[in-house]
Amino acid sequence: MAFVFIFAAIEKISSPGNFSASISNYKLLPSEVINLLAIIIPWIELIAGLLLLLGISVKENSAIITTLLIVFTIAIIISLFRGLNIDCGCFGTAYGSRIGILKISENIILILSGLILTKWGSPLLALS
Amino acid sequence: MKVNVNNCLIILIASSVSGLLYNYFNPAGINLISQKKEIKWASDSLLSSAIKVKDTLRSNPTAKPNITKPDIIAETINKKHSKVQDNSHSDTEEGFKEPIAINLEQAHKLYEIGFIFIDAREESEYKIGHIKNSINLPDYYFDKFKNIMAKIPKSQAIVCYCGGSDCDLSRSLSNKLFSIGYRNNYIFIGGWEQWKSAGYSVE
Repeated sequence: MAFVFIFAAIEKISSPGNFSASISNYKLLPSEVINLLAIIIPWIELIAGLLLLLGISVKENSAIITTLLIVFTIAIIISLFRGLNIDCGCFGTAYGSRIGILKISENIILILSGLILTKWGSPLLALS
Repeated sequence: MKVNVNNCLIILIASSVSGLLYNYFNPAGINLISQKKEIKWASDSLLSSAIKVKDTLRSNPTAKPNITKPDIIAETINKKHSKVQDNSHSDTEEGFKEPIAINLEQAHKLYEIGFIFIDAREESEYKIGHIKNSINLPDYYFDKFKNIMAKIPKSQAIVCYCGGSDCDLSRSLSNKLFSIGYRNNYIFIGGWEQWKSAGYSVE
């Protein structure tokens, strides 16, 4: 889980403009806050992922990551219901994957792992 | 053991500050508040120019035998367009400064003149139905399919469209084509939905 988020964060940090465009494609947020989120979210993912990897504050970091995952998944579900055919933006745009049932399934698995981590704080799962 | 909210806040604040500092010092950093990019719409005078050119071509079909009809139209439109637009649209004779949006009526006029329409949707959607004679160049697989454009000269006027006014594929594709040299570049915002509803030529 930590590796997934670190990888996702590095891709987004390397191209903030693309991530900003990806958030914009969801058409859920006012344009004024999109860039700010595009700057901050990847760093939350990176630092929470790194701390999780190092076994520091496992419960807190997994809670942060799980919250992000839930928000992302809700955004994907809303977009699917609205008929938007957009790139997920989950791992930047270089590894573009579209929003869809597969992406939601992946996120649900990660959310479940995150919830287990938040409750029991297993460092082994954090690394898996 | 409960989650320590204070620790969470510290992590969130530290991450936010790191992100903001990195963005500030990063040469490729972005503005904190995004500048909403307004779409530039084509003026009706531009379309009037196109229609006049069409009439000229009818009366004098041998005007420029070495170049194709759409090329002549694009060239003439650009010359006229650069005169009628204000500074924000002050396009050169080589093409526009950025892709220009057109509505259904304008798109249909350009279609009748013979502009090339490019469908930015996926192949599966294109196969279900598309504007007659349009080319499919899926925006998401631009690098894979961009060879399709090899046959189309850069001076060619093109119109990109996608599913409808709520989709961004046409805008994205239009920008990509613009960046590789297609400067006579229009975005039909209404896209496939409006075109189909209007009962214009489809296949």
